[in-house]
Amino acid sequence: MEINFYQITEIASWIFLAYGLIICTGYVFSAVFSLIELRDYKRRHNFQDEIALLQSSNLPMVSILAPAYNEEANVIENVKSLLTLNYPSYEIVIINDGSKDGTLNRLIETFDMVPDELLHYNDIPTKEVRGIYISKNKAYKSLKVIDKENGGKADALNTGINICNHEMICCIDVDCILERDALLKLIKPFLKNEKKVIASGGIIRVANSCIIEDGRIIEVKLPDTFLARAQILEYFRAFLMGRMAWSRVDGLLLISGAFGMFDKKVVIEAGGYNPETVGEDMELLVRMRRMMREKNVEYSVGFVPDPLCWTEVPQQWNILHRQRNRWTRGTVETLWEHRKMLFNPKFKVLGLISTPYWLFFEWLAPIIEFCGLLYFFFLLLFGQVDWIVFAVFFAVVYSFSLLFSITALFFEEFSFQQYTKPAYMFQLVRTALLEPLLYHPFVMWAAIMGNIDLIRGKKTWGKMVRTGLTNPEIKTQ
Amino acid sequence: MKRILIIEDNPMVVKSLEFKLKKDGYEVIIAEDGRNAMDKLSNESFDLILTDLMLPFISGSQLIEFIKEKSPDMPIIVLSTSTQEDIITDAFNMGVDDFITKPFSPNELSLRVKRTLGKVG
Amino acid sequence: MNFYHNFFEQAPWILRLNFILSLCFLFITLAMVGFMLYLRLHKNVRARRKKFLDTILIEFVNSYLFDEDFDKKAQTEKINQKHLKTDFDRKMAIKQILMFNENLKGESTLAIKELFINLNLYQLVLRDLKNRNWHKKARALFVFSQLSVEVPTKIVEPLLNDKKGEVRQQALLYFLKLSVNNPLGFLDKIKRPLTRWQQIYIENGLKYAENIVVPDFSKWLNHNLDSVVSFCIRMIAEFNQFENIDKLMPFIAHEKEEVKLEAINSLCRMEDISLIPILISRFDKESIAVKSEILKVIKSIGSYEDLKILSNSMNKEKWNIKIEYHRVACHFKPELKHKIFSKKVGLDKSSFTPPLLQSL
Repeated sequence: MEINFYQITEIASWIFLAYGLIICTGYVFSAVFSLIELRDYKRRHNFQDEIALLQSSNLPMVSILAPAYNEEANVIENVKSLLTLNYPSYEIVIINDGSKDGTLNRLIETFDMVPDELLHYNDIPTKEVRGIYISKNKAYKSLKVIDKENGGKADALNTGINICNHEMICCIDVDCILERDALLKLIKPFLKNEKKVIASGGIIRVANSCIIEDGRIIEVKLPDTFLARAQILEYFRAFLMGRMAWSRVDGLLLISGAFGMFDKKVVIEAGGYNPETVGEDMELLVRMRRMMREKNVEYSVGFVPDPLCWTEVPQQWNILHRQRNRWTRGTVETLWEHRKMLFNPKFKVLGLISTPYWLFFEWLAPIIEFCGLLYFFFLLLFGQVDWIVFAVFFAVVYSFSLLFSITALFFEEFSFQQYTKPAYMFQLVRTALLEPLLYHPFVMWAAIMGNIDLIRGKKTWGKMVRTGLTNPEIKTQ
Repeated sequence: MKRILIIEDNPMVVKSLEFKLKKDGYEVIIAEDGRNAMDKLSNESFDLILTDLMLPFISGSQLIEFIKEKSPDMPIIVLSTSTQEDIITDAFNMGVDDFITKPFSPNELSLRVKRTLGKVG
Repeated sequence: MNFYHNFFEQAPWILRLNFILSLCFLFITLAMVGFMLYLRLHKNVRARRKKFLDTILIEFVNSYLFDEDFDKKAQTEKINQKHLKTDFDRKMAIKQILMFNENLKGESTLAIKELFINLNLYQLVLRDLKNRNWHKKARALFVFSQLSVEVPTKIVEPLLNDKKGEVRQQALLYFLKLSVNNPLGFLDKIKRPLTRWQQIYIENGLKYAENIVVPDFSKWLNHNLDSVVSFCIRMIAEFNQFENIDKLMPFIAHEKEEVKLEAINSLCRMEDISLIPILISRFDKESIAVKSEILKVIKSIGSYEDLKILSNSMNKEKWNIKIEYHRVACHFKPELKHKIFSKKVGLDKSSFTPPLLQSL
């Protein structure tokens, strides 16, 4: 028994070390890569103005697609704010996904809308379209509202893709707040790259507690609740460190459904959003990338680090739980759907680094952690806990996660410095100290529940009821 | 001495205008954003307004509408980067007296100010 | 002390390692926080210095430009000695000069350029141009082209094919700005494709730079880069060079679809009606994108009669083209609208109900 126990500890130690080493390497690489990428981005954009772009008649025209489900309360203000974006030519397509409230009527009344012709070609099959509305008022000529049967976010976006007019599509959540030059910045990767660009995404910022007037961020403030502040740190880590680095090695697998721009032709060719998954945003990009690779076309995916899109994050534990549960399911579904890419050298970075990363860290990490916790409780139950061992292990994990958050915070400080008050910085450091203890276990628990739900839900796959779009669909990586 | 209100958010442009116009013998008052301009317009009186169109908080067009409502005869000169026809026509339709595009020639501007003030009397 | 001693003597290696790692992590974290504080402080100090310099510089440049009694030589000397001590100071000076240059025109432009030279900024920027860092090169080129200051061509020319896009972009804008009589001469020297971004800035330069002579774009229609050819085709329409219509015609049969589409689009914008019969005769052989472009041409410069010639081809067309055809038909004959579009349809790839195609 003695020897056995010793052996287990030895093996566990090695595994722990290997896992820790991989994580540390990953961390160092992502820190270095994103630092380089951020620096380059700043250098590239710190002296040239964009007036030339605005005056050009040769910018690609963009269709903004915004699905709305029971958005009665805010939809008007959001559309008004979308109407004042700084871009020479774009249209706004609001897709009313069978709302049960007065979303559609409010739109029709406010913007003086009348039915338009219905005939259109469905490149992607969708639920039935009940009506298409355009405005009689010239000031709103770029606005279009599609009324359709409820079919979920993916289905709504697909309908928008079928009906919209322009070659570039920008998919957003209707409750997001876009900076005025969001489209201008997001289109840049498409214009600047010599390779074909199929999509570009941006950073999502947390809008909770910010001062908002007429659908614009007037003053950036740090949220009062711990939950929202913890998510700010999480978003820094995910976007400023994670995606920035992935974009450097062109291994980005996810563009948040809340804010991304796509080449419509490629989206249609890939088959549009998949309504059968809860992680439709990730699934689409992976499918598009897979298709391009299988066709052997050189391509690229862009990423823009400027703060362009602001969104409210959940401030209630149960809503956060639901959101993370869904993200987990989305990740697993996507990885399963595209398991062929895993470790497949044909897909280069995607096959050898990105997808394994998602498998081991995004999906497996909470599970391993959970097992560790179980093991700990098991030991506790039998009075076998060596408290020194526990303290040391705890210290290393804690100090590492603290370092991780602080690095991300440093990147924010280095790059865009949105939280200008010094007090905010200290508050964020304090949040970083508490976050691994209070916030992280909860998120882990939600991920575990996601896995469990997924296994249970498998039997009733076809009948899965979609809840619609009540929560913003932003994912962190 | 004639009082001129300059509404402009670029400090360099403000200083150049101030310098040039003071040398021409005017009294120059400055508002660096729309809200500030609104305050000054409500509380003081001027002989000429020189304004940009893109301003923080309150846009130039809104300011012009406000001025024209209060004192329809107040001469206004717009100074703007825009070369778009429709914006210029819109400005004139609102009753603006002159439209100068940036980059501008300071000497020409001083001439136009003199002319606009002369027209009014 | 005793505890630590015991711990390091007796604990398994993994614990010792972890212990050391935790200390390392904590140390780096603290360093990071310290560095952040330093960064803030540094930024604040710089911002204050910038504000101070800006006031002085603006005052100085204004006096230099508009005050006849200003002792230019002595004052320039004074500014140079007293305030422009570090590279940062001089960078701020360049920024202000660019700002003046951007906002003022006419007689002031020359004086600004003179000031740039007198403040010894030329040397500084030239040094940046020769620097190995791409962003310094790009910035230096930007300054020179903004102020129209000439530098030896042999330094700039290789930068037209630099491996960094930003450097290439600034190099070509430099040539565009400084060779007023042949602004697009650089096109003969470039080896990498023009990105859409570069094209937009070139177009902008041609439209808004002072005294620039707009070239005859047909000179580059046989360029070996498709992006240059496409760009020139577009510019012929943009600058209304109607004399080049005949030269554009062959391009509607170009092997590359993007060039072909560009040619059709440009000819359409110049309202060349002779285009329509040619396009109609080619319709059946074209790809969906070109077919859809042809329908657009008919909509904007053709007639209902032109459209009807295509009605036979429509039967074997895919539904997306058919629908576009119907849209154009309704554009010419709005009374057809209720006939075609009254149906509540969204057509799938698989199943559809044919609308009243034959009755048109």
